[in-house]
Amino acid sequence: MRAVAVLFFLWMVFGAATKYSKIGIPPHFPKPYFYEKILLLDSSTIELGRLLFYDPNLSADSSISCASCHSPYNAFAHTDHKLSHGIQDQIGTRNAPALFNLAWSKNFMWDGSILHLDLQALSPINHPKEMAETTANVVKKISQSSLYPHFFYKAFGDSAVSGEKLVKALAQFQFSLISANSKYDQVKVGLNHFSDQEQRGYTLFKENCNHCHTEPLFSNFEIEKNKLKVDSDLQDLGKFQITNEPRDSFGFKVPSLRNLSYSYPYMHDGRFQYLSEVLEHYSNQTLTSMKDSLNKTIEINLNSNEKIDLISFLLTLNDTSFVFNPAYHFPKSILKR
Amino acid sequence: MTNLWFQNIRIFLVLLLEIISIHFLLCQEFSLHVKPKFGSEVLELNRPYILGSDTLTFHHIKFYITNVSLQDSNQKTLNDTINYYLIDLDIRKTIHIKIQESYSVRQLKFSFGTDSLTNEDGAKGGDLDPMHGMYWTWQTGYINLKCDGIVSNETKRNHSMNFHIGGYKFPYNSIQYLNFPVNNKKFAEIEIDFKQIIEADVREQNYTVMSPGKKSQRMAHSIKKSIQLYQ
Ligand code: HEC
Ligand code: HEC
Repeated sequence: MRAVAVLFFLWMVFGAATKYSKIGIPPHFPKPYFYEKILLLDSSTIELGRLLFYDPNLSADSSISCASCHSPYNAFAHTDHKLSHGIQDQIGTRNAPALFNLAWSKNFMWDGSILHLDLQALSPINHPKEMAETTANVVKKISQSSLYPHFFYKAFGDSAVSGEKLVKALAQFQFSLISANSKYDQVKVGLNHFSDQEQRGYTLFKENCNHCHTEPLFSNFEIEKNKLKVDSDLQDLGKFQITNEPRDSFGFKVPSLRNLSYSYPYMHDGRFQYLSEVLEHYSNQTLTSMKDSLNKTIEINLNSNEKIDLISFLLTLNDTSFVFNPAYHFPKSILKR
Repeated sequence: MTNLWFQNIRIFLVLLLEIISIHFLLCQEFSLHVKPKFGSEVLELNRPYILGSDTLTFHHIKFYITNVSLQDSNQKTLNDTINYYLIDLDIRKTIHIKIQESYSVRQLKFSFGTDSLTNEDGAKGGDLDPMHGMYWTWQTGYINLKCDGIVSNETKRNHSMNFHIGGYKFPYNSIQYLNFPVNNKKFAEIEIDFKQIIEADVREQNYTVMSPGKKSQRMAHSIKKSIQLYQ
């Protein structure tokens, strides 16, 4: 325990706390799925990615940046709108998810349709209701700006802009967003203690939720079904829309449960505003996991005291130092608002 | 002493020059030219072509030729070092492959489309750069053929025609492997007949196929059938 605590301390001091260059793997985390991406993170590319992430020039009318929908103060989710809110007030069909610990995820989007973070950025940039641009035109606009050549040179040793470099830099910034300093994390490495209530909640969590929301990332990164009622307007069939396989109907990617106090509303369509509503949904459910095709069933029965205990545990997953880390915020020394 | 050293250097430089020039003399190219056709006509962009009662106009045609390799009479294989070529009828229709003078080409192999490894990996540059618009934005994978234009007939005018053919996942993988015998020459021309490709099941697809699946795979098979090699 002490060894882990020391490692964690070192990680906090030399990893997370230094500007960004040495982003390490938190000692109590498993090996990331995109392991090399974490090893090869480099501060100049992250810096470039951060500029691009906050730059509205990535949208057709220069009104929307990635951060318009993924706000740092909401753990990079969006709380003003249930469904995504893009260019010229167009409303999309899904809720903007929180962004952190992405190197541990093996797929992206609510239906898991994108398998590599590098290429995820093509989706919002080209989506007519999000940024309504084309990748080629963004490359053109960025090449013509006086700001960027310097940063491309620092990151890639060559100031020429290309689609490849653009998306790789955006991905590097996002890979660098690591949330691993919640109360839960401190307890795991022996630097803190759960209250009795939180401990009871943790036990309930392990019995009822951990199969899908697997600790310490709080997701198994699989497509699973948690039996939400279908919204008749949206008719979102989840992974089925990508595969056309009946077994994938209503399958959605399991979201992490870290930072829930910041990232409401919840679920793929943002239907729940409060955690109590979420637990109301789960309180009497029999769920069947799709993971490994073993069809494990999970019977969930929660009484009202148990729900309160479980929520008190979920709140220990809030990571304030992540949400308020200035290294992730708007680069105000470089970009103008 | 210095003189000797100077002479050695001179001999060395002359030899170096020799090697370089011999290399250039012996190193030649095999060129593969792509010729799009519409039935018996040569296909050009922005010109009308007739298919039954419909008039088709093509605005953009782009596709990937990958994993090009040559074989000589001794079955010796020469793999091209650059292995992804974006053929874009607006920009490029010819591929050049470096070969040795003595190499006599007997076989040409290539793939139409990209393999699964390329599709699942991270962002790539050059001809695979996502700014060429050949990566699906809403899912993983490259579009192997992008063919956009318009269709008109008696009842509809200028309806859009969009064939975005691709998909690398079983069972709907759409990459096609081609293999042609070649005479010992330094060039070959492949013809791709878009009439044959589109005609194959035009009624069902209504000039739109934009995602991987059965239709896309069927069309990929038609692409393979429509490709002929001439020398
Ligand atoms: C108009 C709002 C909007 C904008 C602008 C936007 N996003 Fe998103 N983002 C979303 C929505 C909605 C989803 C979920 C989409 C889905 O599941 O189909 C999403 C999903 C994601 C994901 C997947 C996360 C996961 O864990 O699966 C990443 C990463 C991401 N966005 C990054 C970006 C980047 C980078 C940009 C800027 C280039 C950007 N977003 C711009 C709304 C937006
Ligand atoms: C069978 C797998 C499974 C189990 C078990 C499970 N969940 Fe989920 N959970 C999911 C899936 C899938 C989603 C996303 C569903 C969607 O948006 O359509 C989800 C979403 C959530 C969300 C929304 C998070 C966000 O950011 O939008 C919360 C909160 C949540 N679950 C809490 C729990 C709790 C608490 C338990 C245990 C009582 C639990 N889940 C058990 C699969 C599961």
